[in-house]
Amino acid sequence: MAAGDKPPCYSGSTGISHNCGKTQTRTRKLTMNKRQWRHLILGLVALMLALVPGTAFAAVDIEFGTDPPAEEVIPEHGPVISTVRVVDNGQPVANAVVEVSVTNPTVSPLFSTDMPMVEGKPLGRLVLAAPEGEATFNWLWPIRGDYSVVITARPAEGSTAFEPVTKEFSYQVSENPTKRNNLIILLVILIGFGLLSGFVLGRSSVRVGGQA
Amino acid sequence: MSSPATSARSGGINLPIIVLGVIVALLFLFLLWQEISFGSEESAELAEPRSAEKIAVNGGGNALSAELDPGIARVGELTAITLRLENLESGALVENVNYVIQLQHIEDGFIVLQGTYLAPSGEWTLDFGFFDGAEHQLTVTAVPAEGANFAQVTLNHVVEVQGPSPPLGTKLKITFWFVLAVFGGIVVGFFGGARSARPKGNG
Repeated sequence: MAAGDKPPCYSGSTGISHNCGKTQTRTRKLTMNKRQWRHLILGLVALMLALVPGTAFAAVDIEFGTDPPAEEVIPEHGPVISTVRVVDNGQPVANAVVEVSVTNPTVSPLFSTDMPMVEGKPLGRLVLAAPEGEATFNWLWPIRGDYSVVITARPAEGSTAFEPVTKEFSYQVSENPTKRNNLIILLVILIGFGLLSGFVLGRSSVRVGGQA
Repeated sequence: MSSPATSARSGGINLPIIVLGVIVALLFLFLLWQEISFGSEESAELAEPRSAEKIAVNGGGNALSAELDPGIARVGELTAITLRLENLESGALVENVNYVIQLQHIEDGFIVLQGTYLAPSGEWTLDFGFFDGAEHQLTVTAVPAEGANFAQVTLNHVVEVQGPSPPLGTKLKITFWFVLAVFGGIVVGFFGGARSARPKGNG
């Protein structure tokens, strides 16, 4: 290293700084201050934007529910009234549009439903106007399982009241009790038939064996 | 040297297994025969191209139309149902329309979809996945919403829905569970029957 050249300033793996003079420290402090100023200005601008009417974006939320509630819904019985609400602090947001996309449940690979062709496939997609912040759609939930309900809320054309928001809901529908009972009855009949046939076969085989 | 009971057990176990094996083989053969004989017929039907279909009804100077894409719906696929109310003179969409819709399963009579849907622009689209391969009755009535004034118009249309049969794997899966139930019964019943028939004091 030539005489008069400044030694490099670096941080080693030990984390100890070597050859870092006072000048370097001052420059670092000045940089930090600039950053702080920048953050302060940005914060002020954001605050001003939030205070100016028409530019503020409400933090909206989406609520989804059905009548009757999910636990009382029976597949293939309905239609069920499904309600979507766009709210801001619990209050409905006017002039909203909701886009609802529902996908049928993917049932266990071992036990399919009585409608295997629709498992995991889309059930419906619809766009609903919600001038009062609420929209409903009535349809039938066809099979048991966990439906995926994706809802996007956006302001209606010409309105900029809020930023579009998307939320995914899980909607669980239990099996139709009548179908479940029918399945149990069928299984009892099949097992009973098997038991009876097995019993007759068992007895006759012992007799045959005994005679032999 | 084996006792009569032991020989009966060893000989008897084979009998229900053979009977069940024959039943299972017949079931699987039946399924395969069904798949081969009806599968090709069905796949030819499903391969037919399906174009969009538009139905329109005039009333009160307006035309209410429903466009179905594809015109013949299919289970497991989305069908786009687009409703429009147009002025017959200008051809422009009538604004602020409430569409009162009902989709009913004709054979079983249950309502699949229902409701009143607001269309501020006069056009409203629903993508719906039919879940039963049967005919459905679509009834749409265009009613004026707040700020609109026109005579209501009603449209009726029978939607044809193709229902492809489940894949062979699903049929085999269901058959497997039912056969298992019968087999379980046979096994338990066989040992119960053999035990009850065995002479007392013979071990």
